[in-house]
Amino acid sequence: MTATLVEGLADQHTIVCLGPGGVGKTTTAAAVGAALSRNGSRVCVLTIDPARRLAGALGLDQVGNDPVSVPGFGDSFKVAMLDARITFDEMVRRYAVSEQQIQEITRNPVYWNLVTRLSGTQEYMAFERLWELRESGMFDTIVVDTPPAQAAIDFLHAPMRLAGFLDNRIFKFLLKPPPFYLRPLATATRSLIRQMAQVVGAQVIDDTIQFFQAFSGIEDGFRERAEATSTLLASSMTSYLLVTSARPDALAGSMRIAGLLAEIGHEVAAVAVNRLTPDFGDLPRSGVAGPASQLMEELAAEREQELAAVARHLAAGSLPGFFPLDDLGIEVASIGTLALMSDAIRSSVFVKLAG
Amino acid sequence: MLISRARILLGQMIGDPKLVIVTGKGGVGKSSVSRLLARLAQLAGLHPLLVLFDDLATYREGDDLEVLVLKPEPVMVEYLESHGFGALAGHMAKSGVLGAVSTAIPGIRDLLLLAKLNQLVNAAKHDVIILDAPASGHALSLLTSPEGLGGIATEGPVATQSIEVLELLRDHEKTGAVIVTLPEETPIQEAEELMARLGGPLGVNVLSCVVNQMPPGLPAGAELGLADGSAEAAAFHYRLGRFQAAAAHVSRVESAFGSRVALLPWVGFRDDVAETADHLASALGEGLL
Repeated sequence: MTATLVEGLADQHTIVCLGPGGVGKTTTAAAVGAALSRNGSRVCVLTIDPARRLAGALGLDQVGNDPVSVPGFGDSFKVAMLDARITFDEMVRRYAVSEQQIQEITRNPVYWNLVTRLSGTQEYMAFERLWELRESGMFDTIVVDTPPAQAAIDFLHAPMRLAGFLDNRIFKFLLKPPPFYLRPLATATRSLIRQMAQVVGAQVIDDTIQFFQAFSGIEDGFRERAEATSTLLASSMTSYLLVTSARPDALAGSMRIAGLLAEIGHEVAAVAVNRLTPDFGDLPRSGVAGPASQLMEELAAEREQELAAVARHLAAGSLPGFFPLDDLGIEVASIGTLALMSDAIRSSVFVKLAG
Repeated sequence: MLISRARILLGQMIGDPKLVIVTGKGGVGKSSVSRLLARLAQLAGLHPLLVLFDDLATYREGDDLEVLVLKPEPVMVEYLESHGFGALAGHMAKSGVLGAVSTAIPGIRDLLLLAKLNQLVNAAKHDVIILDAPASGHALSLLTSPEGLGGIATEGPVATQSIEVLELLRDHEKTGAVIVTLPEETPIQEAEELMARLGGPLGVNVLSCVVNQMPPGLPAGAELGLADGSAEAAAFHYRLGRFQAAAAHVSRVESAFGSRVALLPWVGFRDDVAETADHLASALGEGLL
């Protein structure tokens, strides 16, 4: 384990920031990107957070699918915000064989549902976008921000889940005659789907079948890309940065994410603990019990409690240590404060847990 | 806590609806606040039901509060069973037909969860149902599902269901939303957006905005005799800065929500959501609201 966070992440092609909601993940991702770019790398931070927070934090109103420079950080630091709809549309365009097929797919209500509602679609499109940014050769490092909470882990399964859906055998039975040995199953499926139509309405079922019909042929392209993306995520050039705060619920959520990550064979490269109560130094020895020293005692006790909670949760998750990021006492809502936070990241030194 | 005190607090935070949808950005303490509201209802002598979509957060064995965990697949199977499918429903779940249809039309899962809530409200076994709803983004897609499906499924029981659920959500007497936030920039921004979306196009009654984890004020006289550049001065300014930032955020919330703002004190770090809710309840009981 290297001494500072920036040193540890410097050679990575892809850095995926994971963590529960409300810990400052988006701003941390941006600040990590800024810190790496100040070390000479060409960096792009891709946020897929639907709340458009990065734009606010960077003082940019019009961040879109294409990477843009951040004023004051030079040309080597860029940010992009995922537009899942545009990315999906472009993907359909790339694999479709005719304009008619594109229209049939994109006008189907099922397509609209997939793009806007299906949990995982956004993550899938983020990795499609990540792939495209990689291919462009414009960047040494791409930092990917992910959506919070339970959804945070969904993204790792997302590529294969969507590909699996598009490849659904049940619907394929309806499109073309199945081989003879599968006919009884196909007949049973048809009958189930007919009954389903009685509940959800025949239109829904028709739309779904038409969607699969329209999609027929191009799901191979989608699946190949999904497999390639999964390989990229599993490669040693991808690092997972777990961002948390010292709040118990955030720590518990972070350990769940670390556990799920381990289940699918990836490991956490580093843990950043954000917004720790700062260390104001030793208490005055004068012994004067004034309100100011009372305040210092309170803050010192808070920090101690936070560090103890971090140590307890990380030990339970078998993680060796963390990079502390003290609360700046100001909110990262401007470019100036982003610079301060990237300074904090550059100077954060690994804290190894005892035992 | 006195029954009268609990009633006043409950009146300020939710009024008298049958269904309360508690939502907000992830990590703001929705689960603690949902549980606090259910606890207050209990203290006020009512019979509440706390509904969770995720059992990780607040479910506790041997709880004296009535808690129901709703999961999408069993709810869908139950719905199909009661709509003439009988044992076939389980088979549909196993064979993947259900999974495929609900993946193609994800709103169906959400709609059936809402329909289940509607059923619970109509059954009137509880005085109030508190829903610990998912975080903002998902909550909005949850609440827009009946509308979206109403446009897609134009016939059949699902279409009827959509209309019923929309009526329930838009009924300002029966249903309302509580938006939970923190006195920080992004949660406040998200609360304002939620307020606009829920109150506007969705027509849901926004009952109140709960600002959770208000930082404590400074001890009296802490500013006296601070030497410039000393550690005490740094500590003082740090705490003061946080307090002032929180106060500024509260006034911003107040300009958006008017009098429907409730502040909850920071009650320290706790691992357990139920424990946090109990501490909040006792802090409120002491008149800290």
